[in-house]
Amino acid sequence: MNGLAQPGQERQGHVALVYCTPATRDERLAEFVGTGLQRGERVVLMADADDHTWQVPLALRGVDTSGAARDGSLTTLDPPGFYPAQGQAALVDRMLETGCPGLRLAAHAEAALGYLGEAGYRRVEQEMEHLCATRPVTLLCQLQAGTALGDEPVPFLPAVIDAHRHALHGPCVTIFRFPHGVHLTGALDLDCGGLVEAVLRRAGQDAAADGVRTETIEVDLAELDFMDVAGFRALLRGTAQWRGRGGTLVLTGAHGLVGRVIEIVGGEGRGGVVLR
Amino acid sequence: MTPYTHEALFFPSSGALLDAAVPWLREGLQVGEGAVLVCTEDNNTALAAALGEDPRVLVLPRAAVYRKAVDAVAFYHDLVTGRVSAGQRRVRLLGEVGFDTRPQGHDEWRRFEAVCNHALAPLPLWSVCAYDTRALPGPLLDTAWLTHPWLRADGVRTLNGAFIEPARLLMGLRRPLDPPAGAVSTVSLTQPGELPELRRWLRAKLDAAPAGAQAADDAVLAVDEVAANGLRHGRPPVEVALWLTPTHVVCDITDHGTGIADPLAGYAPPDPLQLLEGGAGLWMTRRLCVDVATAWTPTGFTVRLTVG
Repeated sequence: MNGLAQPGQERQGHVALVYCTPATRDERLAEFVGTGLQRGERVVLMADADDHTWQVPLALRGVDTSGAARDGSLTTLDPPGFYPAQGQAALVDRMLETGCPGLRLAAHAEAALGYLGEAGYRRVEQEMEHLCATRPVTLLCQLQAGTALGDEPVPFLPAVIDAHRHALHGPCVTIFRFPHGVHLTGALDLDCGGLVEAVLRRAGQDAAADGVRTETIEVDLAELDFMDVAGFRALLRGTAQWRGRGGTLVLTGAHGLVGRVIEIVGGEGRGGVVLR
Repeated sequence: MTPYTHEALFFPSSGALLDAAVPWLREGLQVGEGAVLVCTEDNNTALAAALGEDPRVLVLPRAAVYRKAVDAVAFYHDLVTGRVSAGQRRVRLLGEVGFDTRPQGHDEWRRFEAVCNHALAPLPLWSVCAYDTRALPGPLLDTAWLTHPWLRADGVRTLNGAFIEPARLLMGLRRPLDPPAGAVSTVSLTQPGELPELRRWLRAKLDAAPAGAQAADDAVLAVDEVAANGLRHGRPPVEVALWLTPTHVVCDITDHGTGIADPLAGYAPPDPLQLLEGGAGLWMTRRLCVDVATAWTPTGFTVRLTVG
């Protein structure tokens, strides 16, 4: 199960997608928009008024974009409209007043960061986090970035990682943060390794900045069905600094192929890596 | 800590083996070193008796250790590191040829004896490999000469002038790849984002493989690993060709880069602290597969995996 959460199974309404190829983005966005329209929700995409490039990829993947645009269930807002000065709550509540069962918003992190600046982006994302938790709102932020192990990190990645603790989707892995750890689902391979490494690095920085001294970072592998050596290396690289300062990486729930990789490649019990 | 010492001992009779090995093993026990026997059943029994059934002597059947070269390397690596952390200063190991006696077995034994020099080098292990001059065929006795830096005779160690550098010896063991023996399915990759699709494709092909579910799991992991390696260090496209035999899954992974130059790559257990540097993928692949062969063709570099 590498796709976005199935209807009714979404853990949180505030998710991010980090993708390398537009095809991956289009597929996930079509799924996101299609699910919303099927449920009778309102869907709002961030795009300039004269930008129609998003329509064809969605229509090709079975989304009735023209029908939805006609009946008003699918609309676009440019960045100033998407991020009104009065705050996100005003926008969201105005849209929910129309009586629809839910609201879906999709935005490009790069455009949002360009418009809001990093501090503004972090503030808005915090507000959205609250709105998604208290109202029938789902927000999908998209960022194009290399996710493979060894890819050059893009400057916006840390802000996007920090803003989406509950579900950060990579091409084939989904990362959920919890205090002092992450939970992984899907597959952790060469293609997602760079993203997981970057998230763990943020988790280590958070833990170091924490007032309470934390000695461990946990990576819960119970719902991971695949990991290759590059994926395992991502776990080690992402925590190398943290372990270098005396921290411990605790791997839990490894089973099947994932357990086999750890068993063969080793690493457990040394250099601050513990298997539980 | 004394690093690895690798000696060959030629013996014409069981009596001669006991005469040579027992004092050497006893000397080790007296100074707190470990003793391990991995010989024929008869020789194991006779040696253990001659050592007074000392409980510190570990007696192992050869079948428990020798399946293929990397498995034996892993076994000795874990055994020695375990003994060292339990307080032993060094382990003395007496072993006899343990792979099957078919020609493939001869090659694999030669590979094992050669890679030990490199893969076990940092360990405090002193191994004496005993070769029965009456029972063993010529090629295996040649292996003893080619793969041991040291010879042991009359209780004395001497330098072996016939020893050949392991990497050179391994290059000589490369064989051309036979054409596929079965219906071949192929798929091609150009970037890491296609790895999940490759795994789904493999799963579908291997679902009903006669080699079984464990072989299917191992094959998915090994093929992904080699393909990922080709995408990262080789040159795309990476072409995957898969076929099934009644007992095995066989897969050729070809990229267009320069290939793996070091014949010893992937034969040594990765150092957990060095995992960040790479090199662990090929070790895992070798552990998962019955055989890993490599070959250069006019168009590229092929790794052939046999699983099952």
